[in-house]
Amino acid sequence: MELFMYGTATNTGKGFFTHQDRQDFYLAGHPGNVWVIGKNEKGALWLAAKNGVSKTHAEAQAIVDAEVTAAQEAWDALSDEDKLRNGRPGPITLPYA
Amino acid sequence: MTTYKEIFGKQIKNLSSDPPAALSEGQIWFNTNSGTFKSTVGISSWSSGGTLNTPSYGGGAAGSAMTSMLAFGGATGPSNANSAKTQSYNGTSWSSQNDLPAAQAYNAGCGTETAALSFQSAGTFEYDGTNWATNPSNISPAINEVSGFGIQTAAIRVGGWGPTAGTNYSQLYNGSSWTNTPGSLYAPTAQSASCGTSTAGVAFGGYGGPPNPGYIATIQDFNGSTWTAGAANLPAVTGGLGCAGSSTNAIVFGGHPGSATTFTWNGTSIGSNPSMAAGSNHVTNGGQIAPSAGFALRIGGATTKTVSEEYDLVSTVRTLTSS
Repeated sequence: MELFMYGTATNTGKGFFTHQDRQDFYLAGHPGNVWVIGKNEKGALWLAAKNGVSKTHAEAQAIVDAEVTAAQEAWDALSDEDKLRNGRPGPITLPYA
Repeated sequence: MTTYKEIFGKQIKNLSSDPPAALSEGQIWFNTNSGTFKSTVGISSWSSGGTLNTPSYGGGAAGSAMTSMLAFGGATGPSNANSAKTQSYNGTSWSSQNDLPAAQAYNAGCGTETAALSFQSAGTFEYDGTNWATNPSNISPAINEVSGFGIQTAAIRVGGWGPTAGTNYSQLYNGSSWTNTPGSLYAPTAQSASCGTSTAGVAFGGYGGPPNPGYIATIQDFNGSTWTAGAANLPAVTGGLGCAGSSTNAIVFGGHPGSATTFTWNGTSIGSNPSMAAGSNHVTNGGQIAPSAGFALRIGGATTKTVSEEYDLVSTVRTLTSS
């Protein structure tokens, strides 16, 4: 049984996800407005209600990878002092199960 | 078989409907309609807060209620320029307030929405609920990436960024001037998170020194005079994190490398807690944790500059099961 589903949705602020949502299903946000959502009925309804777009794991991972690469390139262009201030963004592996 | 009355001294009530969750925390009853035992428990979690007007990270914050929070300074825009912007939060949305006298990033903040304090290399600024004013006295040496806690008339400065590493500066602001505390930090740090009062504080993690990334997991206790090693460390090295609360009842959240993790701190040990939905380093933190009504507000972040998340305890009716 798959535990997660994936999608993109823009965080619109207050009410975008609630305490109840956090109790009803797993939810984790990632760069590129990618969300990993616990795969149950309430999670699916949440993504639909947020006008989200469903993605496969590979599609979601590709979006995150592109964002991370862009962030790493921006970090590489920083001064040495700023590099010390901000750790280099590391890779993000979306959970898959 | 032992009965509930024998253990607790009271019988379980039969109720046809659930009492309001806000008024029944800790109680157990039998719902005669559903035929189930129920109870109300307090569950803490993060939910989405309002979108910031000015995207930022690494700023200062002040406030004593979710409906009256203040965020100021930080780095903003594509170039991560220092910001002078001040924003207030009413529990739903953010609105712009009067700017700081000078742009500040990696500044420390403490106090309340009507008596706030912001400080780093650009100066020590006091807010009266409407306007900021510059105090002639400033932290010394005047460096960035300090953290701080307390109130406008009794604040503690924690460390800061030396030329290449964290520092062990500890100073007290009494509302008019800064003086060194009798003791320096136990561990040099910049980008730490700290909270508490000028007589009982705590600092978490931060950047210690090279080689990069030189983050530390140290927890440091302050007793109003000296700093000592805490009774435990963070589970992992990190910096640019946030915290809220007191030296014996705090939550710690976010931090390098884009963590969403949240921990509790009771003065002696670290506990696990529900994570934020979106992780980041250089979150701006604010809020207080009280035993009866705790809350915290996570503001922005290096990779989530417009995001705020609210942490609080929500009373929830749950059905009791045997599993």
